[in-house]
Amino acid sequence: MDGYEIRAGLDRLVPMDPAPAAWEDVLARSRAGRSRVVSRIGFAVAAAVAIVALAAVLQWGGSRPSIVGRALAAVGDEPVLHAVIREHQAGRYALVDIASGKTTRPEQTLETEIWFDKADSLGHTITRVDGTVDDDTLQTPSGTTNMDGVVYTCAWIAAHPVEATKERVSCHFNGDNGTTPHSIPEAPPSVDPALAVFLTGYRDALASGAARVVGDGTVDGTPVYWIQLAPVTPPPVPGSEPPPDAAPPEPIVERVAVARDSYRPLLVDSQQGPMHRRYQVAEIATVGKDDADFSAPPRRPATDEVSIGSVLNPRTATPAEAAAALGRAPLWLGGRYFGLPLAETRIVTLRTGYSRQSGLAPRFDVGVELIYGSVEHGRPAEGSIVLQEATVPSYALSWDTRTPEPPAGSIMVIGPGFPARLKTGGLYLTISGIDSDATLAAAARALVPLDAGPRRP
Amino acid sequence: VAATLEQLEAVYRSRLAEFRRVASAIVADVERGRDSVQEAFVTAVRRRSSFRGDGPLEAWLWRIVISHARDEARRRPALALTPDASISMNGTAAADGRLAAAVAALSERQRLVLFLRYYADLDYAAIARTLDIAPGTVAATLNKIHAALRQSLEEVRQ
Repeated sequence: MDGYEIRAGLDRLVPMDPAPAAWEDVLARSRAGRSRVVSRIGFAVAAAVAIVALAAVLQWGGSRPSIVGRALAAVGDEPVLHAVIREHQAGRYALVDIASGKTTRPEQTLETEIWFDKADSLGHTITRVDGTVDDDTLQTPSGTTNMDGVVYTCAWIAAHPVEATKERVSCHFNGDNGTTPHSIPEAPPSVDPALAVFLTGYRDALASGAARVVGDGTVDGTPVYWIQLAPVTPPPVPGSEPPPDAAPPEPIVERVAVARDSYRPLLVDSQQGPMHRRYQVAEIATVGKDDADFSAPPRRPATDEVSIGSVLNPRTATPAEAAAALGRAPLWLGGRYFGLPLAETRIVTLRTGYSRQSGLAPRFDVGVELIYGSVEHGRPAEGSIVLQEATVPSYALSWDTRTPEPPAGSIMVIGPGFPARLKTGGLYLTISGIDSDATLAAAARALVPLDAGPRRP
Repeated sequence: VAATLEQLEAVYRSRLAEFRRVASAIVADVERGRDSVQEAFVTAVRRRSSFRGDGPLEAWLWRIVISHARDEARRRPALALTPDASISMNGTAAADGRLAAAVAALSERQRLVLFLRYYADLDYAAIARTLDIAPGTVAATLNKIHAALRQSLEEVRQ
């Protein structure tokens, strides 16, 4: 018997299934939180049975299922809540186009995904910025971990007094953890209080009658019903309770837009006093325990666990010495820029320190500083313009690993007090002392290699 | 690197026949196999954020499909594979019956390797990834399977 015969025989044993694809059924069931269907019946029959069953559940008093009832059914009744919400925010930085001097502030998308099992006190929260995981936290009855390792809670410290003392953490003012482990229950899992009304309260509000339909409309062209949740006054954050005479916090009022065809939430409109937020709901459903993701967060790369950056050991250098130290010609603004003379060129040591948990030794790189203006007591005087340059994105020069590099042809401006960042010609530059974006762009255009001679500003 | 709905749908639509066939072979029933593939993709959609992108998406989906089919087979013990009378050709019925018995006599892992090779057309590396075994083990397992099936068919001819 050869492979062909085996294949032919196996083909006869399990013929091709002629039933059509049913992707919509997959989506509907994934949203409904119901994964079991009766086998041996066609999808149409199963769908009809499901509709009848749903109707039986939702009909009370012989009336048709209400909008709130359908919205509740769309979330499902499995034990674990799974939700993903997205919020568009103004970015943390602005980009200045070097050619035009025009400033834009790219919007960023914050995504929060939660898995929440109230009965088993499990919570898993993953936050992403523009699709990249920013943090991942798992809360369990035995402790909390995130991408940086153990989160030091009083329960963990009580259970690990010796390790806690070694890590210099304590829940006592005198820092004394003792040496005998004892048991304190972990706090139940929680989510960002600002998001909790919807994330952990939506289903309960629908089920308890604390939600009502207040109108209809459209969201991005999709017809919706607006469901308003009963106002909720957020509880104080443990450890930062307000003083007794403080005004009570404003209640949070949230309206949820649910699609008129699927009853799935699409958008949440949240108002607390003058504060207004809107976020999209990518998903909210309940799932079985086996389908939930309570996996341990991955560890952040050790090289991302930067704790400190320092510029050390400045020494005056000639252009040739600076070029030799950097391995290439530094960029400069000429011998004088905006009336400020080049006061000093110096070589510096850039030290990057890492957290204790990373186990990494400090890293040392070489940088070059060019100071236009004057130097007082070894430091750039007020009003000076300072260029700092290195061949690596050193934290000591404010290049952090969690912020993307500015695209070619752009300068990144974080805000007042932070140097502007620019990557050009294989060099990572920061520019300090220029507040105007247009002037920054002009300065970037004026940069030339130090050995190529100055260009007039 | 979470899988997107669009990616999942693309794999579902392009490989549905193979997913269903392998699942049906595991549970020995076309309809239960079809249901278990649906179940598997419901799970995949819900857990798409847990796809880490450290291997092909299809391999991740194969693992889920096989896991669901095995669960289904355990929940309600599978009947042995039986030749489909409507497509058995003259003279093949006895051989098919013997082949079915020979397949039933294989170990579970051997059956999975066989199904993934012949019903899903996966290569050795993909089978190895799906079943979390070494590619060399796949080759050795298939050799043993061929020998066992060949022997069963030769016995019919004699």
